[in-house]
Amino acid sequence: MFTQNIINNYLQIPGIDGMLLAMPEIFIFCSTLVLMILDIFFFKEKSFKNTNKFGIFIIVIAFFLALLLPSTGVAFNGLYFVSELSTFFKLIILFLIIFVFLLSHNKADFEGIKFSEFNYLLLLSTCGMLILVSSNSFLTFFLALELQALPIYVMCALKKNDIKSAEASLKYFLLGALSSGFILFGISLIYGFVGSISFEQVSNISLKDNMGINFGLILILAGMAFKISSAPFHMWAPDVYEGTPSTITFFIATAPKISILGILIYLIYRVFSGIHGNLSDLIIVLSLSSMLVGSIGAIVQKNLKRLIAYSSIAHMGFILVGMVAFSEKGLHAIMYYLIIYLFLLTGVFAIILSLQKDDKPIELISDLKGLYNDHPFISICLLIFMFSLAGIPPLSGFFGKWLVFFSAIDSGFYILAILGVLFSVISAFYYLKIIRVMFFENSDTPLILDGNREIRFLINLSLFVSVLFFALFPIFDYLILNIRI
Amino acid sequence: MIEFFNLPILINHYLILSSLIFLLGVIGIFLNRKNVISILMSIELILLGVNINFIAFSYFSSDLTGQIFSLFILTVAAAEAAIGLAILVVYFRNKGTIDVKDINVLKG
Repeated sequence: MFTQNIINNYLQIPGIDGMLLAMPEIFIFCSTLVLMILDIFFFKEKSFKNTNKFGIFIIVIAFFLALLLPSTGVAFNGLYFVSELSTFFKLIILFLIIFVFLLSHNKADFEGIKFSEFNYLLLLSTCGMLILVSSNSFLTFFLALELQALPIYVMCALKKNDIKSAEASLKYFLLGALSSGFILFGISLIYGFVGSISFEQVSNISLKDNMGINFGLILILAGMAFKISSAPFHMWAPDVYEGTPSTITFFIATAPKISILGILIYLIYRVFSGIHGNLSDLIIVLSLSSMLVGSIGAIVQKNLKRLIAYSSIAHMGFILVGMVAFSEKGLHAIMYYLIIYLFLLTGVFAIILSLQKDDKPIELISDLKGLYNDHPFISICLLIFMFSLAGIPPLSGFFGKWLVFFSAIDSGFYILAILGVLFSVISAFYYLKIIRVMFFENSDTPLILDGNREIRFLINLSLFVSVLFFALFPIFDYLILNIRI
Repeated sequence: MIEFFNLPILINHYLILSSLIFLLGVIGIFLNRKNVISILMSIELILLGVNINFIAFSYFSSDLTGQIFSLFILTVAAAEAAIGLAILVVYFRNKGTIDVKDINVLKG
């Protein structure tokens, strides 16, 4: 289906010239170090605000570097590989990090995470994500995976005096380290049985029935499923989402998942494409169980962020349907889905962050009572995001699901597509429950809307994208459709 | 008996050893009911098991990559241990205990 030696068509860039390909990452890394020094010596009181502004500046420059530099090729002796696909993922990750910076800009104080370390850790983790999506050897892959994960563990514990935050961080760390161990064991087996850790060599293997390689593959897949919180490896997600401050929850709910899905696409579609037959059953199991757990588990939740965690597990299941399809259509469907999902979560988290009750951030679903009476516009926005997450037709979420299920039907996975639609109907239940609470129930304590300029901008932007997605289709088509694996 | 000790050590012996250490680590994480520190130790065990694997493969296929990889794993393991202990200190300050059975604020 896909030609296996495609990497050989890309230009090998020898020696130091390869640095040009990795310019966004190198730039982010170096300027983070400079920023730390600047912070120590010059930003006295306004440490957080200034580092935050500089962080946005750095990310914007990195965005343009990734966009404008002539960028396809293999660098650093085959360790590093930049293609249209990896550039696409880099661009959406950088876009997303700008959102995270904007959300944290004024809300960090309220959330109790007003430390300039937040910005450094965010930048370093971004650097890891960018390296991850363009890694071309298991060594780069593993190191980038750790570089993106380690700062996130620390960020979860950033709210130092909060037991929930510390516990969430501890859980995330322990399970994350365990999943890294799984991935490493898988890599070691593949190294032993293939004799190389470079993706090019591994993609040339024709050993379909080799026990060692298959076992290694299963271990790697299990570790990756841990990281994207796909069931049955999802148990950390609800706890971690609930415990961490909302800004960071938004970050860990989107950015690491996008980068890991980026490299997972690369692994499944290209590196292990020769032994895809052994993989596809496993991915079907992951996808079905994620949809099941996500749809059923969310029904009983009372905490808003736990509910979002289960909903994100279900969405991972839908995305994995596109991975099962194993066709160019499925690949493009995943990309559309990721963009749609990113904007929806941005909107939802911007609303959660801007609302407060009794000077505390809202936590439970019942805290949304009376939102329609207090703030009609915000409640209509949340209504649209919830409808879109549930997949109601004219909104963006519908198109994501439509593309994903169509790609599955095209590849002949009829039952999977039918089950997916059923689970998406079940999951509509809890989205509608939120809508019922905020429109038809009243409460005595009023909700206070503390939205500043940045948050209003993010809400309006995500509203625009989710309502007018069908009108924006040509733009996304232009971005996505000419990307080949 | 002397015959037994003169047998050459083959790659499968190393594989069995490393798998045992790896499994010991995984079981240590899941069956541990006492202390978070010993979970951190189990994580180290997992990484060391992987290291044995890498070095054995590297030796038997006369390819240096595996040994380089194991050096990187050692570095990452050190970083991970540092961060894990730091998180544990934050947790201990808030909770006053590091018993596994007390990690129960978040559930549902």
